[in-house]
Amino acid sequence: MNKKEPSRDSIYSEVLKKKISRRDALSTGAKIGIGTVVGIVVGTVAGYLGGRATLPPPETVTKTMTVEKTKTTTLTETTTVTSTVATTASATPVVPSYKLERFEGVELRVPHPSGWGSWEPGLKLVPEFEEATGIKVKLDMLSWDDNTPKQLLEARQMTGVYDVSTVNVTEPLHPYLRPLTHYIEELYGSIEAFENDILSMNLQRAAMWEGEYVMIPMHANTVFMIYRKELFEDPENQKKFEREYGRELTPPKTFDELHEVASFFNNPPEFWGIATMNHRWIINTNVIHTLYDEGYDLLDKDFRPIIKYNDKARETLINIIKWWQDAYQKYKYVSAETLKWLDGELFDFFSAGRAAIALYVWDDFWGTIPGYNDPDVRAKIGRVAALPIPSLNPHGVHKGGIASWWTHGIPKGAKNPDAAWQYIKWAISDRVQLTCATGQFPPYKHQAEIALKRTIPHAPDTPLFPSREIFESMKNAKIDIYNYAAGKTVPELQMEPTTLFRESLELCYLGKMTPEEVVDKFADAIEKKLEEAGYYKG
Amino acid sequence: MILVGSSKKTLLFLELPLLIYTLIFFAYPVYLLIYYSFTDFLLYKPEIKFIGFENYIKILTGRGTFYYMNQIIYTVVVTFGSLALGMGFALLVDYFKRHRIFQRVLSALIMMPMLLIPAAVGVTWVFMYSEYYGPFNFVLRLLGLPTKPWLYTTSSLWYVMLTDIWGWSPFVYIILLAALQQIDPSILEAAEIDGATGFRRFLYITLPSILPLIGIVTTIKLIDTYKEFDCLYTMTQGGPGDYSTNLNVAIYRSFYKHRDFGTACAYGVLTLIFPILIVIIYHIISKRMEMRG
Repeated sequence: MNKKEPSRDSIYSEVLKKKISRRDALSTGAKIGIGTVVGIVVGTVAGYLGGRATLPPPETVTKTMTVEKTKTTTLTETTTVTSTVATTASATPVVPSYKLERFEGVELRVPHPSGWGSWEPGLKLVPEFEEATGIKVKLDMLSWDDNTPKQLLEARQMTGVYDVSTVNVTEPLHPYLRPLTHYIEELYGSIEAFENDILSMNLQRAAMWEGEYVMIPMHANTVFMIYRKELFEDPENQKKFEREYGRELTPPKTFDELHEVASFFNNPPEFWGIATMNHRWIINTNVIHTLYDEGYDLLDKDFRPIIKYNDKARETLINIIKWWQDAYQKYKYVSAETLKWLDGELFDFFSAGRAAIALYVWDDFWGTIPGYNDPDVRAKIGRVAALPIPSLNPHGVHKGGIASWWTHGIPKGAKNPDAAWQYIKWAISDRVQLTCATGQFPPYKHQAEIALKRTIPHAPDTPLFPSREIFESMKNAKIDIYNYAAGKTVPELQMEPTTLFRESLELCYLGKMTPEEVVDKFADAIEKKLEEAGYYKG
Repeated sequence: MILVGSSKKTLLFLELPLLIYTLIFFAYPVYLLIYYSFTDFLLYKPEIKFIGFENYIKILTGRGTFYYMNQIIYTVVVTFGSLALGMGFALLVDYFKRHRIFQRVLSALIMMPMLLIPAAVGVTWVFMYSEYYGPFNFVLRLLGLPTKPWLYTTSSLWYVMLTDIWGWSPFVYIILLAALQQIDPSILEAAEIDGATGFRRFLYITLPSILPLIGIVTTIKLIDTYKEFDCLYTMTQGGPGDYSTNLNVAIYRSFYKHRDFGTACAYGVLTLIFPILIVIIYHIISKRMEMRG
């Protein structure tokens, strides 16, 4: 057993206690202290196997990692590897060997968003990588706001400051990155095998530039719904709900059902039907999630806004926004204050037992699902389960929604590309990804299948990957919308149109704009921006 | 003094370090700011094109003028609000000058907000204004009145201004208190013996005595408040909508959210106008006062 491995329990407990928002440390500044103190306290080195007592009996598999020329490193991992090949996909994903090569004396500088809880367990394993490869990793922890601009500036100037890139797949770093296709072929045996293993089909083109892969996913995520199981299973509630609505009280699968359930539980200001977060970029992402889930995109193949030229798409987006406006203004089962909430505020509110349902939960918030099932939280609010965000259509059919994909790449100016690839290969390996699965979805199918079979150690009735429905939904998810539509990275979307959309939604939810105005302004802004950028020439 | 009667060359030589410092750390960055404001410098595009006044036209024909107005309103209200509150505190503490211990305790309490960094002030006041945890809404609830998510109303800018006034009036207070304590008490006593009321003593003796310092404090505060970003960004991030967006938030958004360096630079150039005007006005007033003798 490697002595440097942190125990799973310590990883979980650390993740659980960090309740700071991953994207906006400022808005939850008061919690920084808590995170820091917990970070110092936790992190003791202990046996990896010791923390597995609550898991089903694992099959111990000895993985032999051949390290070229000098030595062979053997890592013992207690994963049920036999289950990795179990998949619902038509082709069985190939499980790469992730064999690492040695590059003695090489130092890599790797940028990484600071305070990204879901990746923190992975970063704790960096010494393992250093030991296995002889490569020294210098992590450059950047604030969320600085992360992409800093990497873009360095990459476009070809400074060679960074050997690896760490950005969301929608960030327009593509022209400044080296092709990875040959590395991927070497890892998987073929590009087809790699593509078959990526969790979402829609990710592929987003990670490409001029026909070559330039980014490779190291993190996946999506939004989903959580609800308090005991509330739904309570006989009193069930009887009362059936009397009022003439049907069984079940977790909502459609927006109509959501309306009924939210109205039923709503009793503000002590208890709200729905808790959600709608701050900053999240507000527009949430709305677009439902639009995508109904099978629409934002741009057509000519880069024209579909919500302008397709009446049904326009009507759908209007209906989504109208639903939310009513939720805030008419039925008031969501508080206007949630317009200022991010993950941290939502977690605090929901775990204090003040709402029946929470929507748009991102799992890479530091340990969302393990967090909501923490024994202390459970003592207050009972069991918490997860399902996909309800659909707008009355049949509850999901066509995908959105997902977030973070990637590694190698900047063109990188000084040690081959060593950088070793780092990337290690970062996407089962060892690292399954360790990080305490707070994010593994981006590869074979890893996600393992995560689906694992449970949270302190809540053995709860799967690590929140639910198979979410997993299935993610397979068809599109890329989150900041920059990406019509199967292409369109950086201009992230500029004025998205800002305007976000601001309009806020005003709409406060009753200062109509949904029709929001949609039409957004469509016009997209068209104007893309016109200026030359998308419609010829 | 050795330097008296030195040649112009010697004086120039001695000024050289300052000149070089100014060129490197002020003139060059300002040149770059102006230069890039005339380009379409987007972080995600390798080439940069000269586009003339396009960025400025886009800003001034769009929401830029609204952001400018927000910036000016914010600057003026917070500056004069802090001035009034700081002055009130200074007069109050000065009034208790014979009760030393009480004066010190009061002074310490007034100075407390200055110990907090602006971002911490912002975060603290987000909780103060919260609909669930905030004391304001708690009191309203006790009184049976409707509560409100204060920072998520179209008046959010005004609530941030209140916070800023609270946070920065101690700065005005400490300077004006020092000025008040410099006034010769015998003059005030003489006026009191002559039958002058408290208000008349303030108007004809106290105020003229501290007026020069009020001028300096106002100028410093105007320029300082004009640069406001931390508190505003932590509390509203320019929202809801763009109701509380000022130029500084717009610069941040252009660069960090839109990756649009050209527009961010154009906003930057526009922000220079107000401080330059203030400095010019200050110089004109100072000159006139000098001429009056």
